[in-house]
Amino acid sequence: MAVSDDDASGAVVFKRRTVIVDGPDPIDRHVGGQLRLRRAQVGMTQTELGAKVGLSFQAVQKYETGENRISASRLYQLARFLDVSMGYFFDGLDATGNPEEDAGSSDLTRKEASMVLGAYYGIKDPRLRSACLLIMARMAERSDEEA
Amino acid sequence: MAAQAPLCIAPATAPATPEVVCTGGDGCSYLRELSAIERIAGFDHSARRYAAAAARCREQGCRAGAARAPSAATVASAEAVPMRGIGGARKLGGERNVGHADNPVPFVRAAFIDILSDSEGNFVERRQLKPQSLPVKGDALGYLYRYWADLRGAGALHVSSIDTVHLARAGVIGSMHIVDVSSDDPNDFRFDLFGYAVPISRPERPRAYPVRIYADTTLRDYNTVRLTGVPQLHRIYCRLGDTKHHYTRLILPFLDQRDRVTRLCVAIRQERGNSVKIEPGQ
Repeated sequence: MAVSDDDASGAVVFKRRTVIVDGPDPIDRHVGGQLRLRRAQVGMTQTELGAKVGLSFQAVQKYETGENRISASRLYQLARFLDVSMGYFFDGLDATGNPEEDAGSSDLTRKEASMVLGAYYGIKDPRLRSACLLIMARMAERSDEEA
Repeated sequence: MAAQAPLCIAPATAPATPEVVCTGGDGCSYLRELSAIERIAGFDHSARRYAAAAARCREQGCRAGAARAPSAATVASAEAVPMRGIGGARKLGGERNVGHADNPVPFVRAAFIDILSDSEGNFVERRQLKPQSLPVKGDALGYLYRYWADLRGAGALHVSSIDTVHLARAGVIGSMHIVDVSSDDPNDFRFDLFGYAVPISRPERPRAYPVRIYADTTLRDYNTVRLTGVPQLHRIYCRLGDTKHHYTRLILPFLDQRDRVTRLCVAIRQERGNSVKIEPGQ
């Protein structure tokens, strides 16, 4: 992926992204991460997967870190061996190619919300409940102001 | 396309125990440990996914519960393993053992041991063994050692080369520590990961083990592996406070990008008589 930058005149200049200077491309890292997850799910080692597609385990490892890009034909092969659709490798990327909100954190947020609700309705006295609500609302307002 | 497999990697060596209830207080310990290993190896994407799955996991048949206690089969096979002692250690009476490096030593009766004790009744008995003598099949530590040797043969002893599928197959997730030894001072070594199934309360650093002689010997062994880059295998029998421990420990070095040993993978196999409480007065 190319990265853009503005030069002195304000014109957008595209430069080629390199792994050494810029690190792995986030999309390549995401695809590699998905590959690693799926490989682990089916219980296949890097060596075993490499043997299936004619690669060394180091090459598989470089795909997983995003250090090496996976070609379209190789991705197709990997999808076949791992029994997933091609789209699986891009799951969790938004339209701009950035990883969407982390599934883990959204799960935790949901868990927290359900705990708060449980605790709130655990308070039997309605006056205490509304006092709690008021405190929470004030705290939220205050953190908005601080932000 | 087939339905997706569950995220939890079941160790192939562990027996199926569907009735085991998840024992993780705030999620699956097994998946949380997988997540920690992935994070240490530098795979943040899979680390986050495992952490998310761990937070969700409330199902029965959890691997964390299965790995908490060693299976009877593991203990039995450990007893029958003929291992080779390292030459040069001292006998109990202080006499030097010379030229016995290649002789198989029946493990339980081996006389070549290092013993340290303190005034409070604690003792640490260590027998150094050859990692090469670990059995190739049916042994978690043997599998792990061979995996490490394969990585070394391929010149890929970096932390990022750790493949959790191999760890799961070995059945060492939960009984494995990862120690950060990047400091030159052994007192600053710290646990990046402390196996959830190891029955010792988790300290932040090896130096913080409550029994000094135990901390000293542990740090000495860690530092030896850090400095030499050579794996070490010990059978350890010790008394720490009111508990006796008996286990086999394999220490494997891993490198950073500058090829310095900065991490140790320490795998434990609990042996018969591990975690035995001692009655007062004994």
